[in-house]
Amino acid sequence: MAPPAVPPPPVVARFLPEGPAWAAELRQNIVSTWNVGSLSTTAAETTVTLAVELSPEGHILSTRLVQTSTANETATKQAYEAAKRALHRGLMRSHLPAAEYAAWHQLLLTFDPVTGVLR
Amino acid sequence: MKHPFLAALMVAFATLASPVLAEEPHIVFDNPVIEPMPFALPVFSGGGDAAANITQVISADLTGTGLFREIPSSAYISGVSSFDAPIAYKDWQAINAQVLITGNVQASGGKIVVKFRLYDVFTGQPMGDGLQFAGSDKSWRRMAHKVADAVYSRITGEGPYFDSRVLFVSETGSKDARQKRLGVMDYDGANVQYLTDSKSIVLSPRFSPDGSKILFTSYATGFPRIYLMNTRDLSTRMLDDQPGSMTFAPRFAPDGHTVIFSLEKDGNSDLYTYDTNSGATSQLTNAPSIETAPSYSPDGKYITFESDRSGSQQIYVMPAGGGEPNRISSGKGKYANPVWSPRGDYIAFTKIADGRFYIGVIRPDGSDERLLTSSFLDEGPTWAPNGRVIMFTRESEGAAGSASLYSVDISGRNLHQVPTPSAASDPAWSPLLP
Repeated sequence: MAPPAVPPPPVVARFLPEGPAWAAELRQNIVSTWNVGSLSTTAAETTVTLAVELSPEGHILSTRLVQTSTANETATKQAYEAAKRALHRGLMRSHLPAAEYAAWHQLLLTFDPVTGVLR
Repeated sequence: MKHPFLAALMVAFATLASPVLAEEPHIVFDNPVIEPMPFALPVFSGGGDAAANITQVISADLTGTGLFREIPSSAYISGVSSFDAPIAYKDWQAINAQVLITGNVQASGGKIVVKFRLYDVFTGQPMGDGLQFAGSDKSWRRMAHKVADAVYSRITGEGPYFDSRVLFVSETGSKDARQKRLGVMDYDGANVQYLTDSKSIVLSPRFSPDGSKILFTSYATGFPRIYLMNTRDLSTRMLDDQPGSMTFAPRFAPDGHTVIFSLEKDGNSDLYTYDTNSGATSQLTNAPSIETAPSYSPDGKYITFESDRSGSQQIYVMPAGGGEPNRISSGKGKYANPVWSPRGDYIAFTKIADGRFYIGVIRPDGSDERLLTSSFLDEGPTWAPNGRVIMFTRESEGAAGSASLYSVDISGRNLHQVPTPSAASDPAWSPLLP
């Protein structure tokens, strides 16, 4: 049986575009590659939160799923994979400042596909 | 046994209360991109026509969903020299392939073995261990569909549907002297076979839940009567011949032996069931209105059907054993041909309003009605085995107008015509093949 869906964690430092420059750039690079167009109808509506640990070079050391909005295990898996795919692609395009490594070495990323855009 | 992904999830939840998380910067993403996923599919190794043909069918299956887009081989930086060769992820990342499918085909002695692997290009990881299918070389298309089904399900999370067949009514001749016969084909229009001749008009073919039997309505006696065909030897028998009545709109219950249908007698039609094991008939409705087009919920507990008891054709849901029906359609116009999705979440229907026909879906409780198509005449929806795609009949306008089969994703996207050798109507999707 899949675990029960639970509400998302509190946003303690929600970096929107007006946040630090590296966060704005990272956010833009990840969201532009976050594609839910090939997911099941349930997965495409599933919100997932990932905890990510990065190396000083900006490479992924670890990712783990910490939250899902659905009890559907398959949908969670597909949504998690789509988020990881976007994270990898977004990081390749980003230049995280080494001097601010302490700020970004661990991140909590929530992918909330409430609305979509057609391209 | 605990599923490894579930175990990972539980570990993840256990760490949620960690104080470390509360100090991490939190970035929220919304407004994702919705576009087909680019994939690379080098021709499977092993050589020969079989490898090329199988690769082509896999590509057509995936791109035909509208959820995937194939990157042309002319864009490839590197190839895949052999099935076990290491993957040059950076070369596939450079052309923006998000997944890579590699495979190998071995043919000998009338048998072929197809194996494949799937890679997530940007995470640089294989997606699972790969799979292998073996069979007769004559079934190469089925093996291609099975590979495509595995890829599709692994990436989307939807159930498979490419390895399935579709019954349809083949139509030839002019509009006022049309000849109709039953046909069956792969879901993509390949491998057409005809099951009846054109001597009698046939309508409403339906597969049994295991695909071993077919119900259809025939005018062989001059009046509509329901027939049951065995798909193994095409032997056919008439069901429940009650003199002075007409029977039509048959459909199997999920139990595979109960048939629900409409019976018209003395100008009134009601819903009945017929047990193909015992021959027992039961009447489910008894109203002066027209009750027809019944369809079971996948758990067999409910029936949806159309009735004009309110003054116009509308869709109703009632318990499978009969009882008070609940009207679920409430929009402008008339509603017909309700068909319950195999995953139970929606009922597909035909809608007629303002002189146009629509195919739509609605929740079984009457909420969330959405129209997916619109034309001069769209009707007769049937669900793919995974409940994600709907096929239906579209008839063009005018004296020269004819019927064709179309399919559409339940999102309303990816409307396209299904190729058939002649005009075709009344599609009925099979379950996934065994």
